[in-house]
Parts: sequence; C-alpha cells; structure tokens
Amino acid sequence: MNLSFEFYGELIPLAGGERYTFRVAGMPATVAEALALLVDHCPALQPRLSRCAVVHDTEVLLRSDPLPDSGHLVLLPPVAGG
Amino acid sequence: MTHLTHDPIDIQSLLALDQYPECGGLALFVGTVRNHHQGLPVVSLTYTAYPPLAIKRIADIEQQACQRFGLSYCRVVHRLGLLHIGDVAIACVARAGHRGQAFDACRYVVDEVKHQAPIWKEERYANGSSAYVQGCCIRPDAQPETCDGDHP
Repeated sequence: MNLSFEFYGELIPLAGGERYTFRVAGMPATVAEALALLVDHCPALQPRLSRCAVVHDTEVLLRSDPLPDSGHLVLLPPVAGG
Repeated sequence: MTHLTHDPIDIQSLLALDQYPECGGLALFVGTVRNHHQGLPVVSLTYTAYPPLAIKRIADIEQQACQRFGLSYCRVVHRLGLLHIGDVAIACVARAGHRGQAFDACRYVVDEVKHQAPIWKEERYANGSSAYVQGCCIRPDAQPETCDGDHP
C-alpha cells in the first residue's frame, strides 16, 4: 500500500519536490499517524508540520481524523495571499 | 471569470456596472505588488495556490459577505504566477445599497481571503535571494496567534 503526500509553498523545497510517495506495510489509522511516518522519511518537514493544515480534496482534516481511503494527503503551510 | 487566474485581472469586468440597479455603493479594493517588505527591496513575487480549496473558500467568503453586509454582489479575483512591481495581485468588488456596507464588506472580504485562502507568496529580492512570506495557519484547531504579524 502506498501513502502519498502533496506539498505547497515553503514545504516543497523542504520535501524535495511537490509530491512524495512511499510504501507502508499497513495503512495508518489516523492523519497524525500518517504524518509521523512522513517525518521518518522527510525529517526536514518536522519543524513545519505543527502549523500545516492537512487536507483531502477540499476537506480540512483534524489530526485525529481517520486517514482517507486513498491514502493521499495534501499539506498546506500558513497562507499569505493578497 | 474565475477566482484564480494567471492572466492580468480585468477590473472593469468585475464591476458589473450593467447589473444591480438597486446598488448605490460600489467599493473596489485593488492590491498591487510593492517594492519592499520588512526593509528588503522586492523585485518580484510568485503566487501559488491549492486551487480546489482556494476557490471554495473565496466563494464561501463572498457568500458570507453578501449575507453579513446585505450586498447584492461581491467578487474577488486573485492572481497567480510571476508578478512584477505594480502588478495587480488581488481585486475585490462589493456592491450594496449604500457606501457603508460596501466599504465594510470590501475590507472584510480581503482580510478573510488573505487569512483563509490557501495561497502563498514567494518574494524575490534585489540581492537574488527569495523567501516565502510567513502567514496564517489554517489548521481548524489553530490558535488565533498563529497568524504572523508580517502578513496583516
């Protein structure tokens, strides 16, 4: 099974690209567990994750929410439009 | 017209002057790229977005503003891509029966878009370096103080 992440803004250089996918033996149950696995693969992201929103399509998730079946999460750092 | 565009924003078409005859007040805010930020000379900006959520949030903010301020019409367009000094980055139009609601709504909408829509601004400076402007955390459980002071 694959766990995939999509990055925006300042996260892209830290993650080394706009997307990152890796295989997992079993899908994590929650968003928080998925983020913990991501940090194992991309430690540079750790200092930024506490201020990132985690999104699936247009739904902003809580860390305690179940991981979406797709195993795909979008990470949005603090916003600064206008 | 979409809420996000890589093309220059057509302000005239946003005004919808041939509609809403009940409106006597029209407030227009236009945000442009300035040549400095926190003491550093800025030469250009690049705006990026997560469109699925940015479009939804901007549309929701427009709708909320119409209800809250009794507007007949509200429209916001944000530019994406590489922008130079003086380019229009965001335009907001609010139309109401009277000027008070239109002014108040325009400020409310621009503030909300800046703080809620997933859009990012990367500044390029005269010395060749670049940096993302630190902004507002949009985690649903974020504390209010997570909106940085350099993005008022």
